[in-house]
Amino acid sequence: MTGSLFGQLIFDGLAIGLVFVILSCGMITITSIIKMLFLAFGAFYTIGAYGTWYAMEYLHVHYWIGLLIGVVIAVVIGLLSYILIFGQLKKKLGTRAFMSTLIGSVGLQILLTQGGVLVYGNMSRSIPNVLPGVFHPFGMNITIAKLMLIGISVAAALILFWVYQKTAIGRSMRAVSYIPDAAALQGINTNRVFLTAMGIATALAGLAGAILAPNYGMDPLMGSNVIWTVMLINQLGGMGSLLGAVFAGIIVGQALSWGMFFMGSLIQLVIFVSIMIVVYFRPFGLMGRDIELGL
Amino acid sequence: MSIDTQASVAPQRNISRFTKPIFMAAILAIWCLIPLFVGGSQYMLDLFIIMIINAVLAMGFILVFRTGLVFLAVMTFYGIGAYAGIVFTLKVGMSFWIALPLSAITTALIAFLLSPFLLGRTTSPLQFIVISSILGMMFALAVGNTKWLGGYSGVQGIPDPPPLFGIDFSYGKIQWFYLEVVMLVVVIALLLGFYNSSVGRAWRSIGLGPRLAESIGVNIYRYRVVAFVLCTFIVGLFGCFYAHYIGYISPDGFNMWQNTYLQLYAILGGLGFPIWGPIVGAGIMVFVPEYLRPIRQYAQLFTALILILLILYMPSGILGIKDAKWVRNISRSIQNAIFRPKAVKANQTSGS
Repeated sequence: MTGSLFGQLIFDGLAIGLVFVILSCGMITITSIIKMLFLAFGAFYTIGAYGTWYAMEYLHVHYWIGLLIGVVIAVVIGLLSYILIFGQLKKKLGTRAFMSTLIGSVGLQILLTQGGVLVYGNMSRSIPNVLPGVFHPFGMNITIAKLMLIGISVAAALILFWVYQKTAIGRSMRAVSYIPDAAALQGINTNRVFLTAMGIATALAGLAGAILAPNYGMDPLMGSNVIWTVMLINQLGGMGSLLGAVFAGIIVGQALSWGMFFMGSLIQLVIFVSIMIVVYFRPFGLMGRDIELGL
Repeated sequence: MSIDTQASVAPQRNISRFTKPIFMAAILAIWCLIPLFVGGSQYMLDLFIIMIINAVLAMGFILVFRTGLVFLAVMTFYGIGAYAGIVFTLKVGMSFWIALPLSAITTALIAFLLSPFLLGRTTSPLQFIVISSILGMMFALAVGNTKWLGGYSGVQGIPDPPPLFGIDFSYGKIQWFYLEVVMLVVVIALLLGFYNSSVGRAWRSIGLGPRLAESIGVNIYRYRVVAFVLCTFIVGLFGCFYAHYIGYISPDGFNMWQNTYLQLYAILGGLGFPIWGPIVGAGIMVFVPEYLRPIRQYAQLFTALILILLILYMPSGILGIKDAKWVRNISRSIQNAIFRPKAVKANQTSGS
């Protein structure tokens, strides 16, 4: 095995893995703070990709503005859905809202996927690559678009960590994720924290869709297919841990990249079985902790 | 206020003891007459059969949910039942009538062997969600990668069952419909028997407060295993039935989204109603999209909207409406008018 192949596999795995990292960070923000299994999360990924495509196709804007528009559309829809559905459920049922929010998110998933199909059609689309360069260090095949993908994902993850660790809203998010009632007693406006978490999560989903689209193309069902992979990564990393999501996303990305080359599609099964074994011995993932779901 | 309702409910015990079985028998009789109403329309019969299968799957989900666990791998065990049935009839060459109970037992056995893995270390509902959802995601992949089971392209040409008591199953759907009615009665009898026994009371206590139940001396693990194995038994039975009824199965029919749709059936009818809730929920989710067919483009949109509105304004399900205050007032006044016209007068005179 040559060194160039080695590097190529690592590079491609990193590109896929970092998209998974962004997505699972968003999913974890929702799961650990709002405490619901948000199955409509994949739909926002699709909305981000198609929002970007829509803006570029009909508004004739540059890719970067299109990306911004896609993210904004995803965030607006996410906040609206929280205000109209999940916030109401939380207000009505309190901590016992888990099942209702789960079903509500399935409804939202169907609504957004089918509504999306009505708006932008049932076709696979692709966004023209704005950074078409390729260079070949050590015989590898490194496209600038994938480098951009990696750069943006790392930047997004770093910003997320900064918000989570250093700012006031991040501190209140962490507090709410541990014990919501105690956080509310300390004067934290939990409703605002939930809204912020929803905004951050949907922004990350939209961003992931928008930066993935120029590299891998898109189709209306990509969100509902990716959601289970994201859940799997969450479970490997731990439901409450952002750092765990980063590690798990990179591991799964590398495993997919290497396994697809050496084993074909059987690698998915291998990943599932190994994650199941890990989860058996470490019930809350590599770095996670238990979350009171309040069934 | 609460004392008042207690007093009005108490004397009705005698009536309700007889009305419930009579009510159920009446519904069963009406259900058996459905083939007459639809006029032998194979399409409608097909919808009814699919509806009952979905309802039974949702019953399995509720059964485990009542012990405080969200079970996201119902479809996996349904698929195990279906594939076990196919292996027994196609590969081993058994008769369908032996394979049907045998595949249910196989599914339950597999579930029993898996139960230490799934439930043994479970201390929190989150972990059960995690492991069972991985199991749910894995099934389609595992079967898809197994050449012996047909891979992703599925299994075709599943043989029809041999005639039983002179009834031929090779054409038409009425025979299947009545076979399913028999199976449904068995399942409901099994479930009601368990729910009304000490096991059912233990399940309820675990569902209401696991820690409290444990402190009283309920062995949570053992009772959860019973619920889990019973659920997979029922689900595996209908899995084998489904495979032979449809005649073709592929692993894509058992993917993760199907698992979440099951919860829709369960929660639409109401999670507090383990038998009737799934039947009502599955009826709505099967027939409403069918009647929205002319506007097919928007059918799923409407389904999703109805779902979200129901969740928002009827969180305890459609059957849960019977606990709403205005419904209870109306039903009480109707019952008073029909059953106890004298008792109401006696209450009024003695109350002063």
